[in-house]
Amino acid sequence: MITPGFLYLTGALLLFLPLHERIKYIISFLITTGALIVTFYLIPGYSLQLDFLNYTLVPFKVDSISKLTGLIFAVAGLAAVSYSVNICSLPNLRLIFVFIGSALTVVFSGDLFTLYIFWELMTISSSFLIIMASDFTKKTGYYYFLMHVAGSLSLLWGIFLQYSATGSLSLNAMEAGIPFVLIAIAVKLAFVGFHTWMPLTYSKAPFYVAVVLSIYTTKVGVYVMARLASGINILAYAGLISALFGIVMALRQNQVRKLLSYSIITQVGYMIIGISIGTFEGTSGAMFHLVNHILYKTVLFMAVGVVIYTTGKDEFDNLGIMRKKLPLTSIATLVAIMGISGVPFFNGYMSKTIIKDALHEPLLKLGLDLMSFGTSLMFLKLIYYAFIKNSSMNLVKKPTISMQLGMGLLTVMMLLIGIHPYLLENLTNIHVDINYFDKKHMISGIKPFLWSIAIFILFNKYVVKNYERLLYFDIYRKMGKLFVTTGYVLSNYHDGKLNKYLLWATTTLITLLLLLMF
Amino acid sequence: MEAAVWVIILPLLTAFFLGISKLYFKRIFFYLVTGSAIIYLYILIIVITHSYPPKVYSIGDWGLLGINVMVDPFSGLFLLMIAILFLPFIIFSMKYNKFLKHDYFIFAYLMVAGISGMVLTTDLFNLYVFMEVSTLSSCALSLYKKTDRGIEGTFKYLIMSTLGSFFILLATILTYYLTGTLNMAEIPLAFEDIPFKIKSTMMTLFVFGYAIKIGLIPLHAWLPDAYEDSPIPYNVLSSGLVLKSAVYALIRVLYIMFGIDFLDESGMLTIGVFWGVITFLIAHCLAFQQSNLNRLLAYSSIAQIAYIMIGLFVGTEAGLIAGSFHILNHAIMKGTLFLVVGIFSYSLNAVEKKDIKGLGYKFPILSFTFVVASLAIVGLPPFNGFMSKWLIVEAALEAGFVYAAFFILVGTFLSLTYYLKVIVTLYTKNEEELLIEEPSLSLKLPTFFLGSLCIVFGMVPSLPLNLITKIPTFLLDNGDYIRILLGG
Repeated sequence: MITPGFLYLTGALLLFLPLHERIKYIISFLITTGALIVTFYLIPGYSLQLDFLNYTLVPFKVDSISKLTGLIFAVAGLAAVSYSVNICSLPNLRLIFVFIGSALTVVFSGDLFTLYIFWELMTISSSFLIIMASDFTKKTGYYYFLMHVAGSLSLLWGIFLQYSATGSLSLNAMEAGIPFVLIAIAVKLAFVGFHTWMPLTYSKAPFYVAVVLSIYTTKVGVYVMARLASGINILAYAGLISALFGIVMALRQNQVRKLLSYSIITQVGYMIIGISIGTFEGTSGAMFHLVNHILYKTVLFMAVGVVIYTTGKDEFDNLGIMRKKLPLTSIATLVAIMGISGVPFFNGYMSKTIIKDALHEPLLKLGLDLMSFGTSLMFLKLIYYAFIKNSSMNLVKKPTISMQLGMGLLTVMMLLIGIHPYLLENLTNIHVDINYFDKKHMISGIKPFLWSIAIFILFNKYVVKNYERLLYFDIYRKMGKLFVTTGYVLSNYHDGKLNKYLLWATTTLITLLLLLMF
Repeated sequence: MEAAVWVIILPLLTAFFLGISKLYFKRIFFYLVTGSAIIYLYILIIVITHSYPPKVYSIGDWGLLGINVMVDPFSGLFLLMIAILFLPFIIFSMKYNKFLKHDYFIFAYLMVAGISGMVLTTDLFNLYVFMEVSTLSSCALSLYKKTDRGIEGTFKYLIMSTLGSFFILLATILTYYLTGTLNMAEIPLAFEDIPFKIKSTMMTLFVFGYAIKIGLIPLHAWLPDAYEDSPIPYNVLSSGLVLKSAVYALIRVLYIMFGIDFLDESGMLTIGVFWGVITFLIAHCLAFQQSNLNRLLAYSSIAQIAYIMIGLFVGTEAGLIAGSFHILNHAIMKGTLFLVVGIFSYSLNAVEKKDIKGLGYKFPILSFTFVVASLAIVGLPPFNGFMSKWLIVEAALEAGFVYAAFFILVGTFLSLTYYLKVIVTLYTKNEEELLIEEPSLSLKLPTFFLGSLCIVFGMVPSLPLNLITKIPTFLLDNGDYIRILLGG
């Protein structure tokens, strides 16, 4: 049986063929739609076994959660590839294919070994994507790679602990080494404190790279968290803190893509809370939110990408071009913003309602309202710049058709899910017993949004303001400096004098004699 | 079947005839070198396929008095490494040395003769002699460029390795004095009566002597100095075979002569693992500081050999398999890296990190090979280095060396820091005009061959593991080895 991840990886290989320009489009189209169709017809319960060395691996396993995630990954893959196929160079397209393919394989993996390998492959391919994509991203790519490898090594250590404790590599909730797995996940989903790579990368990388990265990187972290570490109640508060941090930071940004990055941290907070509840409703709410979040966040990144493509920069002021010259993009952006703010009849409302319904602790419920409020507030800022404030921007070049196609596909899906939320439930056979459009849920959904409008109007001058860039303290850079300094001190001892070498040798001999004889 | 003997004799003869051809028939030089290398490859493959079950060949039918040669899976692994590295080395060197020199190939063949002798012999004194043959010809090769730095580095290399040889010889003489024999099968039997203290003193001398040749910190200092300005294809053999042959000799001596029980009792296993951990942590810190690619790779070699030591010293079956697998993988990965650097230094004389800026766009496939090999050596999937590191960590955890297993992962991270720096430099745009001599196919082909092995052994690790999994049988329990040797 053909797995969707495998299809993408084959696609990456096929792109090595000496190509005519047109074949590139054909291959991309065939692979992406093929993967979508294959994922759509997967039957939950199917699994595949493989003997490798002494282990029995399950490289492919389908259940309803992985099917849901795989499906949205495939849809977003189709959209993202068609968005970027025109702009990016062939090596980068290959890397994008490897990246998407390994993300899909992680989602359908049935054991820890496969999971780790493709998790790492995601890191490698995305890092090289960042490094190769432009001249200004070398250092960012270096930072990103190191950070993510540190995370995945932590995952590896967790896997080793689990393996030596239980003797099996099957993909169940972890019994040993949970802290290490949590660190790995925290890096991947940009938890506060481990998030430093994200605003840096997403704001510096070329826009199509940011689109592709923002779809998969954090979401794979969420998915793996649902698999390996669900139901740890205390983490719900951690998620809340992370989300609130995201809001505060997002409101201070002057660059649109940085705002979007911090907003990812906030949205991931919802998912963490949902997963940490541990009940069926909580987890499915988190997974539905993952789907919705991929839809609207990708559209937002794509819209900003269009703005960058047409005007050259992603300052807030440049957004003004949307209202005047880019009608389609404007509609997509509006739909996405309504979705992310959780307004009823838009897609974000559905999953937020499920998560809120699954929560029972008053503090967390309050926190959730606060998060919705903050999210709406920061996107009102975006709306203000894009549609209200006057601007005198001019188009440098027109957006390509394939870009708009990718964006349009996702927008239509958002509208569908928003109007008919049961669509998602039916698709994956996950049924949450909620009546979305009754009075109670509607009011609690719209309330934060209305509040945020009021606050925005009242405190307009604080929200819409160019803040100074915050100089933040990055502990990882400090640790790196420590490592470099240690190496420098050590390398000074090695000055090429032979008598020193002989002295070391004698010392070693004496030490060895002492150790072994007594 | 006497093919095993020819593994030693053929390179010796070739070296001899090369010397003659230098004097009389210069024209047959090329055919002699390549022809002999190809025949040698054929013989090696025959011997490797017959390495299990182990066989003993006694030269001249003198029985235990004469010289015995034994092929078991562990020596089979080393012969496999020679088979993989030697022909690419010859092809590469032919082109790399811009004017042919007979001495270079004479010493190369002598060195390989020494190494194959080391891994086949069953006699402690022969082991020493072959080791000296390989070390001295290796020194001669590293001197080949005759630059100031090269001479200085070789001088340090010579002094340090002589110091090591001295202690090995001392221990060998002591062994003969105490047991009256130098045959590896008879020594362990005679060893039983010798008091613990004396045995551990002898072991210390052996370990110290070989540790210098292996380059464990703080005995490593000669290694980067010697690599800095030596012919780069030689570095491939040096880090792939010369260092490893010292590991081989150490493991052979410790596991066969002293036996695993004594190693455990005297605390050698714990010391070995701890020494390995210290070594790779420091080596990674130092490698980050290097600006010369040869030195960087030298430090990385030190670190990788420390991983091998950990694998071999945890003292379990899994550990021996993992360590041996990493020996093979390191030879391949480091070989690839050195060959790519060799091509850079051939084409535009670039051996400093800053010189290779932007070459990723000039040599796309070569740079890709470099990236693959360096990711493999860092230990990222799906390349071969990851597989062997996975096995080492698993073995260390199983044997209870939790700290070693943890620090191996830390070491993986540290090694990424400097390899990634090189990679990023490769792919940073450079506006300068570069004077490039296009590398020919005979330079690229060996590089691609080794680079593709990195991927193949990563995807299908069972390929080499078929041979490697048989290694512990004849190392962990020295009784089997002794029985076969005495019986044959």
